[in-house]
Order: sequence, then structure tokens, then C-alpha cells
Amino acid sequence: MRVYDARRLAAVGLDTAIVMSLAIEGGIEDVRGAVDDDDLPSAFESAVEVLSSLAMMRHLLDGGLRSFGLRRLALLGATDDEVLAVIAALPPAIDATPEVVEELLARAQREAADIRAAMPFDIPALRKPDGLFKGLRVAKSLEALRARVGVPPFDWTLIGEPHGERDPRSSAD
Amino acid sequence: MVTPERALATVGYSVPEVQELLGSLLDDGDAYLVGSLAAGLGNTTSDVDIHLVGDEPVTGSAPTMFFLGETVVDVVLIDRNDIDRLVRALPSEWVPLAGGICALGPAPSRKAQSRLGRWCTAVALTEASPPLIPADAAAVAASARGAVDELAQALAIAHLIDARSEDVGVRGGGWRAAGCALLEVAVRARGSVFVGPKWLWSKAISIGLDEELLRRVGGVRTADTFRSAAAELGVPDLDPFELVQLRPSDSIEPVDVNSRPFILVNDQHLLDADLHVSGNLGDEVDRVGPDSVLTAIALGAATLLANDPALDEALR
Repeated sequence: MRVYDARRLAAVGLDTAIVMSLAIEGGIEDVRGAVDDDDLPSAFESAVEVLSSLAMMRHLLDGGLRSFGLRRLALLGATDDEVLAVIAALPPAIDATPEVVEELLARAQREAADIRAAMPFDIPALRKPDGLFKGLRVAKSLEALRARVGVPPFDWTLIGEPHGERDPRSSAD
Repeated sequence: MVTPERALATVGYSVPEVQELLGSLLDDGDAYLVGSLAAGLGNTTSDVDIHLVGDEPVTGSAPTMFFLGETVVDVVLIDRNDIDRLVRALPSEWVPLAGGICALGPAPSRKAQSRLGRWCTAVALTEASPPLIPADAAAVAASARGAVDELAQALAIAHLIDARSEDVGVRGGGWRAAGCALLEVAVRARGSVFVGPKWLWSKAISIGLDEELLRRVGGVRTADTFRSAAAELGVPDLDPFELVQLRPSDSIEPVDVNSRPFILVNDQHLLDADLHVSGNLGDEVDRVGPDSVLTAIALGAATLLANDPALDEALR
């Protein structure tokens, strides 16, 4: 039997589902696509991005904040996250080999599987034909849980913001 | 030259198949293929991104998702006036930078940079026509300014990590990110305006940057190796402690717990009140230390913003 903290799940469940489906599993697909295209530097950079997102996700599950780009870098730096050292130890992207990329991919898949296993619900693949409506159901039920335990509604307007935060310059648009 | 037929063939489809999928939706505007496929960068797993440009005002920019087999087809309605507005906002003044050019004045928002990159590389779906926005000097300069803005912020974070962490590997990870931001500046300044971090190295290779230089930029792990790479790429020394400001987030509010002041961030995190950072980065680092500033950024209590006049001065 496992017991989950309802308020925490309400607070991070949607973030987790979105990051896992779009940034992590979408990113893993990007790695594979670039490998198939013999574009190893892009595969390598996509894999680095996935590993960084997975590290951010672990903080998210501990009650952190969904973040990408520079805010994620700040988070990983502020917490001395080991992924920064892992990434720093890698060769330059231009020297990426199939073996290095495969190793990064295997690590990413392992970590993604661990996070999935820790969640109390199946995370649907939001950008697959059979995942879209499952995703809507997950979103609806988690929004209901948020309301039930007093967590404010999810801020959908931040989805797609490159750093996961409101761009201070966007008021000029 | 990217054609819609060739771009869609990358994901195994054709123009008529996309037309059939979207049906009467295509009556709502002029259809353009945008994104990595249109920019000549995509591969078999890429999405098909379509912008339908019409004359009606559009609220929101969320895509409508369709599928061709397993391939995602995202369709976004675009108000033609938004394109005109973006063109009108392009800069009229720029300076040489990194083998190309960079605008003076405020950077476009990240959304505007992304749209600029997409519209400068857009390919009409059905008939030969130019991109939605010409990738001329004004567009290139604006895009490069966006990358410089990002570089100043990346440098700020790399320096903060450098100042607080005892782990040389962690510090190296921060500088690696700054190295990538540096390369993005050079790539955009030289005319490759499509925005997408995962394509950074493909773009750098496609504009002919020397492999040895890319090796050195990709190997940036310290402040010194960063400075060497910047000098080699023709990017001036940027001091983020002078060029970057901290702006308190809209989602913070002061709270008091048993007479002790805190700030509440996003209704989620309670931070000591002195983590309410605001103003010049250097001054705030002197006041509360790099660790507190980095934490405030990481938890969303503050965002970074380049000081535009100071950055202009550094670029001149």
C-alpha cells in the first residue's frame, strides 16, 4: 500500500504529467529522430536537455517549481544538482559519438521510468493520437483534486513559455 | 531551398495529404509551413507546424492538434496584423557583432523572437511565395539582440553558480550553458534566426562555423574558457553584474508569521524577506550574497532582465 500527499499531488500532478509527456518523452523522441538522421550534435543536445528536465522534475516532485531554460539552470545550480556535473563531464557536442548519445538516452529512459513508477496515475502521451483525450481526463481530475484540497487552479497560460515563467518583455507584444 | 513538398517528405507525407487532413480549415487563411521542417532542420520525428494567416483577430496562440499517422500537425491561427506589428517593431539601428549584426534597444520578447524565426523561414503550403517576413538586416539584428539578452542572463547565472558552489563540475555545467548562449548569439547575428536550442549545433554547422571553434565553444566549462571563446567569436566582454537587473515576480506577496517577515511565492514557497531582490544584480549580490539571489531566481521570486541602455553601451 502506498500513501500519497493529496495537496502535493494536486500541486505538482499536472506539472509532472506535462513535463513528462512533452519535455521528457518528446525530448527522447527528438534524440531518436536526430540519431536516425545522423545528426549527432542535435541528438546530443536534445539528450542533455532531457537529462536537465529530469533533474528539474525530481525537484518538482519534492515541491519545487516547473522551470525550463535559465530558471531551471538557476534551480540546478542553487541545489548543486549532480546533473550539472554530469553534463560538464561530457565532450563538446561536435564530438558526440553514437555511444555517448546511446548512454545518455539509456540514462534518460531509466530515470523517466523511475518517475513514472513513482506517480499514482498513468501519465498519458499527450502528443500521441491515443493520448490526447486521456490527457484531458487526467487534467480534469487533477483540477478537481486541486479545487477539493484548496490548491489554486493550474495556470495554463504558462504552458509554452520557454523558461516556464512570464516573460518580462511580453507586455510589449 | 526548402519547398513544402521536400519538407513534408522528411516526415513521410505530402502537401495533398496535409490539405486533406485540414480540409475546410484551410479556408480560414493562407497556410504556411513553419517550424523546424520549414527551416530545413527537421527530421522524421518532427511535428508539422502550420500557421494559418487570416484577417480576423485571434485570441490566444495555443495550437489545434491533428495527426497524420503518428505525426503531430499543429495548426495555429495568426492575425495578419500581428505580423505587421512585429515588422513595425523591428529595429532601425544596429551594430556589428560576432561576424554579423545586433540591434540596439530592447530585445523582442521570447515569443516575438520565436515568431520572427518562424515567419522568416515560413514556406507557403500551396503556392510559391516569399516568407511571411523577409530575413533582412532588421530581422537578423532583432533576433541577435534577443540572443544577447539571453546571453547576459545566462552569464549572470553562471557567475552566481560559480560564486556559490564548491563543486567544480556543477560550476562547469553553468558555464557550459553560457557557452551555448554565446554560440546562439553568433549564429543569429550571422543570419540563422530560427529559434530552437536543440538545433544550435546544426545551425552553427550550416552557417559554416569552423569545427575547431565549435569544439572550443562546446568545451566551455570555466569563466576563462568562456572569455576566450567569446573573444574568438567577436562578442565583447559582458559584465552581468552591471548589465542585468532583478525584477520581483508578480506572484510574490509579503506575509508575516509570528512577527517574522517572509515573502510567499506562487502560494507555495515561503522565503526569508531579504530574498525579495530587486534592481541591479551586482548590488543585490553584495547585499544578500550569490546563494540567496540564485535561490530567489530558482523559486520564481525574481526574474532577470537586461538593462537595455547599459547593454547598448557595451555593444557599441
